[in-house]
Amino acid sequence: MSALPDGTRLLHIGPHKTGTTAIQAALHRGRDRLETLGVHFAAGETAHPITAVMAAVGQTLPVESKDGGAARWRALVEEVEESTARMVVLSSEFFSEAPPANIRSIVDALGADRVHVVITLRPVSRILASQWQQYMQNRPMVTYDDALDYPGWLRRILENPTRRDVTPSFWKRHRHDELVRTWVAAVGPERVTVVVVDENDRRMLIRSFEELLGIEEGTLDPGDLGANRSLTLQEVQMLRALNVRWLQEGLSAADYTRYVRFGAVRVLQERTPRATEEKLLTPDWAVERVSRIGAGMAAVIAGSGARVMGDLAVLGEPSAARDVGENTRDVTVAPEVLARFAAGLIAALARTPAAPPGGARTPGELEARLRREQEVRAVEGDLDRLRRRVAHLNRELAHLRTVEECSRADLLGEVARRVARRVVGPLRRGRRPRVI
Amino acid sequence: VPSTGFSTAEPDESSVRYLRALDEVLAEVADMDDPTVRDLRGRVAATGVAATSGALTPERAGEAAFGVIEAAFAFTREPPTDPARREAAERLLAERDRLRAELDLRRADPRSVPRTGARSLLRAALGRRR
Repeated sequence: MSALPDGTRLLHIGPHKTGTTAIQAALHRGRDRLETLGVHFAAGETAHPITAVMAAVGQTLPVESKDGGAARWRALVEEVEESTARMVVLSSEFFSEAPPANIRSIVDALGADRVHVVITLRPVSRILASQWQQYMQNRPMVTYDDALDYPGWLRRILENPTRRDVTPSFWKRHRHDELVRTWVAAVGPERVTVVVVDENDRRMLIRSFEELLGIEEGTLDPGDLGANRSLTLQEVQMLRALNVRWLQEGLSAADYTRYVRFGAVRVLQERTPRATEEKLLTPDWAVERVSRIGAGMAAVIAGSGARVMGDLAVLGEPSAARDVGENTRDVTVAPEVLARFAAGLIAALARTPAAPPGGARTPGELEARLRREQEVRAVEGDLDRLRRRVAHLNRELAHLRTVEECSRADLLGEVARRVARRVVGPLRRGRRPRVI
Repeated sequence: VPSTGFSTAEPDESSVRYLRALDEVLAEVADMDDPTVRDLRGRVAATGVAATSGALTPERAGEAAFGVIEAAFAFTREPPTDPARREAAERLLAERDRLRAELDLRRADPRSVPRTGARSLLRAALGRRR
């Protein structure tokens, strides 16, 4: 398998739970080294430009405004256009959720004749548990009938995969044959590479990217591959209980995203669970069923014309599954697990700044209240300064009238001030004045 | 109201472990000198014994975690030490926000004076009696 040609814009579309975080972290960590090798990692200053890509696929993160995301996507496209590197890489699993119309505009924006799509795949049996616990931490607003538990969710998505009434994004992301077919239709089979992750060789994914980018093996540092670990059984059950309460109280998705998903859960994931700690287990029946689906998907992908790195057969192999079985019913949460989660929440809440949020973003109720409270506490000690600020704004507002609202004298006064500025200013600097 | 309200419950092994771990992790992930961190930590610790004594089922743990969110709401409803001062601060901030919004609107108006050229201003002035 050879490197992609110079000029390529490598578009890694995930999908979710296929090692995307590891790839993005490695590209981000190695961005300076990559530049010297002629590869630009387009992601702004981040490892994953999530809000930009969500806007490109027609979605909005609850903590971001629609306009804010669109502006970030435009900035990302500009970053790609302005790069003079021999190859540019973009990576986001959210590209895999793009509807056909958005795929067209994404490919056009990045240059249809230069885009090469990379799709990373794992057996869906290895994805199920991880994806469910991710849904649990994404937002509590998933419209479950009765906050389905893991086995209940498995039944709903596996017994009739075409129904898609629960977590519809699951099969949008993980009907891997449809994903490959859709992107092959958009860019042509010669512009699509499928990388099937080798579960027994954790460096294989990174190595595949090094190969595609034409850089020496070992250039990209995979870092701590456990950093984005899945939640354990006690962690996810505690989170699910919090979600139920969150929904009962009618709190917002924006607050959840800010304080729980990107706050407490991140701190929780920094803990290293003991080897004996119970993981979320996938029952045998679900592994068998999803492996049959996987085998069918592998056959379609093999016939798609896309080039394949790795072994497609593992997608349908039941033995590829890990953590198979039935979970115990009596789960208890260790006090240290709860403490870490609570501390993560406190830290995220306390980081709420005093200033109102920028842009057109509407904060959640809790964030808005915390921002205002922080601000009130900050200004209470110096009310005179705030009074001066209000007076200044009042003066500024008084000058900001429409032409219609001004009298003849006001208008002549304004013209005179502008003339004076144009004459006096340059004269003071020893230059020739400019007049209207 | 969650079951994490103030209680006279005696600390047991579970709650002692919880409170100790809470402080350890907070020292690691938050600025302990931050008054908001200290305030929230105090509120959470005050309810922590009742919330975490005995076996922690996922439901009890989720409830205790939600107690942190309730503590944050309570923090925003804290009675002021100087009500007059607080009222003045709130009034001035509301006035500032109103003025800012008004300014943004006016600045965006193409008929505003700053967005009108000097020649147009002069023409408007000359075409007007007063």
